[in-house]
Amino acid sequence: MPCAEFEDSLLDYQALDSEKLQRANAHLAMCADCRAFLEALGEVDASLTDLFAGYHVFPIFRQSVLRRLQNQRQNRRPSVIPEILDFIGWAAVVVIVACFVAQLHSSIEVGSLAAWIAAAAFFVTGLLFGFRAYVDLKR
Amino acid sequence: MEQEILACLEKRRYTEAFEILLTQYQNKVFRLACAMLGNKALAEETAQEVFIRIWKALANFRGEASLSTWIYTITRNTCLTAIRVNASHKMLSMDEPEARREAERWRAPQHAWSGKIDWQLLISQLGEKYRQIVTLYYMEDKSYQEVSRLLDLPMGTVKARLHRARKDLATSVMRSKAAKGEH
Repeated sequence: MPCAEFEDSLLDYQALDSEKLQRANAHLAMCADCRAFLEALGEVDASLTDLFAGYHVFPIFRQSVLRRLQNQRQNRRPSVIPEILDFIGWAAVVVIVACFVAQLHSSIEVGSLAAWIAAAAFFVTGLLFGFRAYVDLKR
Repeated sequence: MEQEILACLEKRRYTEAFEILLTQYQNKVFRLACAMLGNKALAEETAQEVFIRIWKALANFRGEASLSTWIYTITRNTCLTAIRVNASHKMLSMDEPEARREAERWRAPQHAWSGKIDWQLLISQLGEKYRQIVTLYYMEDKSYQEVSRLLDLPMGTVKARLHRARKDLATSVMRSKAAKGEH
């Protein structure tokens, strides 16, 4: 282990000013532990510089990113035609049910409980279908 | 180059801005991801994800921070997500050969002293915060300033952690040499 007093100087050995460098060198001349530590530090620096030199992305990195983006853009722009057809279809169903109820109207007494239930069911169904189609369109 | 990107963004030429940005930052982002994740393949995958996120957010870039700071923040956040996801996967996949080998390496560090020094192993034995700084320091041509910018840490913290990490590594090398001398 290096001497505590010189540990920081040895860790910054390459960047020491001349005065500190002189002091460190004087100490190194007398201390085998600090010499060994400095030598080990040099080995760490050299080996890790080699190990991490040339850390670059693979050559196809750029193309991969651009391709992924292109795929995402295509996926993000689905056709709205199915949703519109869905909306028209459900609207047609609601209209047919409305016509059917209107046909039955003559047999149901206006103001009766059955008439109110039928009207409420029709209204709620229309509301749900409309809301569903709207949500699909927004998505 | 950053000015060129900002000029493109101002003119709403997002595709052009993104392509310049990708060329300029792909290696920096990849190296930061490598340092944070400690795995080249995962870093490459995460770096791709970073650029997808950058593309999605590019139109909303307001220039409140510098472009590089913004990019590195996105990179760090994406890496943290990748670390969380990877950690949960690792917990489930200890039966995989790679995970077993990794566990063996951790269980028997004395093997490192018996032959050539395994630098990757030594680095992996440092604490997370020290490993990131050491890796980036050597990747970024030993620039404290660059490491500080990439990790958004004060320069003093970077220096202190780097000193501690280099000291630990040098001590390990000395022990390794002493052990080899004894054999």
